[in-house]
Amino acid sequence: MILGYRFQKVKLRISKAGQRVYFNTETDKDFTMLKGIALSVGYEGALYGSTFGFRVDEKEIFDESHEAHLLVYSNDISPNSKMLLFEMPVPVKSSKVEGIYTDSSLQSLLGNASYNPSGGVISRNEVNIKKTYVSGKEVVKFSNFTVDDNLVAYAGSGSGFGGGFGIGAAPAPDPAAQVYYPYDVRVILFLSK
Amino acid sequence: MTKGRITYYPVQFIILNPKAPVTINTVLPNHISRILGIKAIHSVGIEQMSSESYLPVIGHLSLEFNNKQYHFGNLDIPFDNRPEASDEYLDARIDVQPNSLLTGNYENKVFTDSAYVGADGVVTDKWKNYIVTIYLKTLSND
Amino acid sequence: MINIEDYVERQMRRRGIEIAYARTLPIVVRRITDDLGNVITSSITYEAYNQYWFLVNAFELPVGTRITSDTNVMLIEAHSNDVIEEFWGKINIELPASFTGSLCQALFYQVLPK
Repeated sequence: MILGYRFQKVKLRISKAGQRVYFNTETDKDFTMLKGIALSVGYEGALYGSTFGFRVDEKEIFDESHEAHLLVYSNDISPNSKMLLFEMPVPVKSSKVEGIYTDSSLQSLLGNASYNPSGGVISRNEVNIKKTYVSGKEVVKFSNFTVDDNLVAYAGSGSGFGGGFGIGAAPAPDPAAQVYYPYDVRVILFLSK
Repeated sequence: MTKGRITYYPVQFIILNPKAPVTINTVLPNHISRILGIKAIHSVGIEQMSSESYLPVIGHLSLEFNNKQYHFGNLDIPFDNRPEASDEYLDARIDVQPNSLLTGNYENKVFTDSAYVGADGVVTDKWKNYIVTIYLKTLSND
Repeated sequence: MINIEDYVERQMRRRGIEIAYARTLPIVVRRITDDLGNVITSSITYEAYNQYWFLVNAFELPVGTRITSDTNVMLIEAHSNDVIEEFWGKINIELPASFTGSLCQALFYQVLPK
């Protein structure tokens, strides 16, 4: 017997500042719609400036420069009010789901002096192709690179509710909140039939 | 049911000087056929200048679509690092011409006194660059 | 130097806007001080809703002049002959604090669409 919804999760471990972590996973074959997505994290400050790109069946939903904090719920907000629900659910069926999380991605752009003197639009190439190294290899493309075992996501598929939705002690929402490494980010996919 | 799927397209820009307006001039990709919602937020940077977690307006943004044919209007950009910050998109129904320009400009409204920028327009050490992101919720037909 | 009439004509045609009327429009911005030399005003505001104003003489305005409108914000940082900026809505022209003269003239090309 299968009920209507499933919260499928992927866990990512961020070991150091500026790290870029890629994951891919497959959606449960019994569910045909991806209705929403949320991230959860232990340190609120970790999210500001970190980015999260997301693709389903090789088609982009979020650009790699999409900010992670827009997809996160915290202790005082119920998961479904901060979860990003897709107005048009994404059709899935054992679909390949990929994501890439970059810690403090945008902060690294602040000091770049190569822009027009008064500022201006940051080229998407600068956001998406950064000099981040994973296993000594320069990460340049969303789709093709390799990462170390210990740096990668654990593409688990346990029920989100089973694992408990709590995110641990939430630090005060101090903008300069301390971030401790490593920290884990959990990606929750909201699937329906 | 409408054909296509929803994607989220960010346009990021950086503010390097408190008094100089920033011009936005970028081409939207061909696969975007319609814009359903717009959200413009502060991304990073302001927290290095202020201990507040909320400033209602840090700047004004004006946006035009379809090669300057449609002025969407003016938006206030808040700095909001509170967990309860709004995630809502502003409603927009803009049919986008293929490969058209998204233009506009942004005027910073905070940290403009002489502690941050000298009379010669040179910024001081107290000023920190910051990034604003415009998120476009789009209907894509790729 | 760009011919303003041709430029505007082409711009409007490309956007599918028909011009009902167009003319050059000089705007004088005065810097008024009191007896002690304190600046009372050094800016001027116009309401140009539903019309386009193209700035023609950016190179003659003092560096630091700031022109804002609903659709555009411009700060003159350097003098160039080839800058034509466009404004719509409430237009405010503000002279820089470093300007010490008594007046300065901005020349616009005003376009009323049909």
